[in-house]
Amino acid sequence: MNRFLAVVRREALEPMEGAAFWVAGAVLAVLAHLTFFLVGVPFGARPFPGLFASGFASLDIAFAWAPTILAGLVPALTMGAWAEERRSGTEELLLTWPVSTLALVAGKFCGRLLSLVVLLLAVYLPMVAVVRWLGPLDLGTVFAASVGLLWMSAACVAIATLVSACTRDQLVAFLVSTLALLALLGLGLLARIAPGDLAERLWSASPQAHFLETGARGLVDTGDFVHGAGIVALCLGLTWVKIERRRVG
Amino acid sequence: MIRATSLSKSFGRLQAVRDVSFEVTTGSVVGFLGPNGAGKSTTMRMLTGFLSPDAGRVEIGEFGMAEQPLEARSQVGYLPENTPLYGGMRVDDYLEHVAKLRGIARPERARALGRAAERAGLHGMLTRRVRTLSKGYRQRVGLAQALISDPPVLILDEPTSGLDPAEVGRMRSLVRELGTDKTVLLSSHVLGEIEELCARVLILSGGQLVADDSLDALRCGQDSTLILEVRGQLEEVRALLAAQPVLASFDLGPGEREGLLEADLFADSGRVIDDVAVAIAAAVVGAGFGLVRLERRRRTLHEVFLDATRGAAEKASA
Repeated sequence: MNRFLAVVRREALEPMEGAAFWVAGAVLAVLAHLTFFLVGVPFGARPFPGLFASGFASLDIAFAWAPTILAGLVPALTMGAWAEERRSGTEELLLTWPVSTLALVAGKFCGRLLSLVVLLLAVYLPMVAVVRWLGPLDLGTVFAASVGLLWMSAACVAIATLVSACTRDQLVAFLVSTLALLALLGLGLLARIAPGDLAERLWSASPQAHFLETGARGLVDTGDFVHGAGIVALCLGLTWVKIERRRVG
Repeated sequence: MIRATSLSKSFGRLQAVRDVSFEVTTGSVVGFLGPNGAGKSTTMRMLTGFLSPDAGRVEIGEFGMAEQPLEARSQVGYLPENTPLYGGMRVDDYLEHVAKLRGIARPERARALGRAAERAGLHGMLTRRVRTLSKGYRQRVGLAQALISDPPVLILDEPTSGLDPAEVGRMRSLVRELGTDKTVLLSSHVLGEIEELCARVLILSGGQLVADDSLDALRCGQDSTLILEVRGQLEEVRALLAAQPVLASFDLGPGEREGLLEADLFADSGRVIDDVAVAIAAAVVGAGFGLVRLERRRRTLHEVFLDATRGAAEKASA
C-alpha cells in the first residue's frame, strides 16, 4: 500500500515539474472563464448564452464544455506517464524495484487523476464562488454534476494512460489521446445521424449519454458510474498487459 | 548470491543470449566482460528482473525471479548503463521516493537515505535538482539509489564510464569495499578496472559465456610457455636448452637488462608445465648458470579477452 501511495504521490507531482502542466492550466483557466462568462454554449439542441447575458445562477455552461476541455487537458497531463519513463530509460529502474506492475499502473492512473482534479478545482472553485455570490446556486446539482465529471475524468485519464504506455514519444501520446477522446465525443454526434440500432449503441458508449445528459444536469446515475468504471478497468487492464509484455522484450 | 541457469533471450530473430549459466557467491566482485552487443546488458536485465528470460532461471539468494519476483528484486541494487534518473526531482526527494518503493519503513528511511548518500559521496548535493548535476554526481545518485536498501546483491553496468579520474578512483574503492560482504557483478569495458577489482571474470561473446574462471587461471590459461632469465654465455645456454627433452622449442636472445639472456620456452606437448619448470630450473642451476627468473607466461587480460571473444566470433561465423 505504501508503495502504491508513493507512486501516486510521484505521479501527481510529476506533471507540475514540466511546463506543459502550467501551460495547460493557463489555457484551461482562460477557456473555462471565457466560455462560462461570455460565450456560453452557442450550438447543440439547447444553446444558451454566457452567464453575463443569461443572468442564471447555474454552472450548466461549465459542465457542458467539460468533455471538450478534458479532451485537450487530460492528454497534456498524462502524455508522459509511461512514454517519458520509456524514452529516458527510467523505466529500466522502475520495473526492477520491488513494486508490482499492478501498483505501478494503478498508482500512475490515480496520481495523474489527482493532479487533474487539483487543476479542475483550482479553475472551477472560483467560478462556483462567483455564481453563488451572484444568485441562489443549487449546490446539490453542482455536487451531482461534479461526481459525474469525476467519473468522466477518470475514464479520460485511463484512456490517455493506456496511449502513453504504447509509445516512447510524449507528443505522439498527446496527439493520439486527444484524437481518441475527441473521437469518443464524436460518437454522440454520429449517433444523431446513424440508423436505428447502431445509433443507440453509439449513443450508449458516448460521454454525452453518460455525462452531458445526466451528470451535467445534476442526475446521479449508477449507469454512468458503471460506464466510467468499465472504461477505467479495461484501459488499466490493457496498460498492465502492455507493461508486462515489455518484460518479454 | 546470484545463480543463472541456462538463460536464453531472443528479440525477434536476434538471439541475444544463449544458454548462459553461472553463479556468483556472496563476498565477491565478479567482472562481466564482452564486446558491444555480446548480450551483457540483456543478461543483466534478466538478472534484475527487468526482462524475463525465454528459457532458463534466475535465482537471487533463495528467491526465484519467476516465482517470487518482488522478493527477488528487493535483494538487488541495480545501476543501469547511462544512469537513468528523474531529472526534475531533488536528489533527496528522489532517494526518498526510491526508499518508499523499496519498502523501507518510515522510521528507517532517513537513516537509510543518509547512509546511502554518504557512501555515494553526495554531501551538499541533496537539495539540488538531479538535472543540474554533473555526470559524476548523477552517477553517484544512481549508486545511492542502488545502495539505499543495503541489498545483498549489486549489479553495476559500467559504473565508471564517463567519470573523471578522481571519481573513477573513488568509485573503484567503493566497489572494492562493497565486495567484502556483498555479491557484486560489475560490467566494464575498462580491463584495468576489472583486473584491479575482480578475482573472477565472466566473458560473454555472441550471447554465449566463453570464459568463467578466476583471473589468475584465465591469464595462465592453456598457455604452456615459460619465461626464463639467465646469466651466462648465449651459445652455451642455447646448447643446454636444446638438450632438454621437456622442451618442444625455445626462443633465446639477449635480455632487456645488461648481461642477462631471456628466453621463451615452449613445453613439449603432453607435459605438465610445473614439471617442465622444475626440470629446466635443475638443468640451468646444475650447469652453473645464474638463474634469475623462471615463471609461467601470464597473458594480459586484454589478450585473454581477445582470445576468448575471437574464438566465439569464429565459431559463430562457421
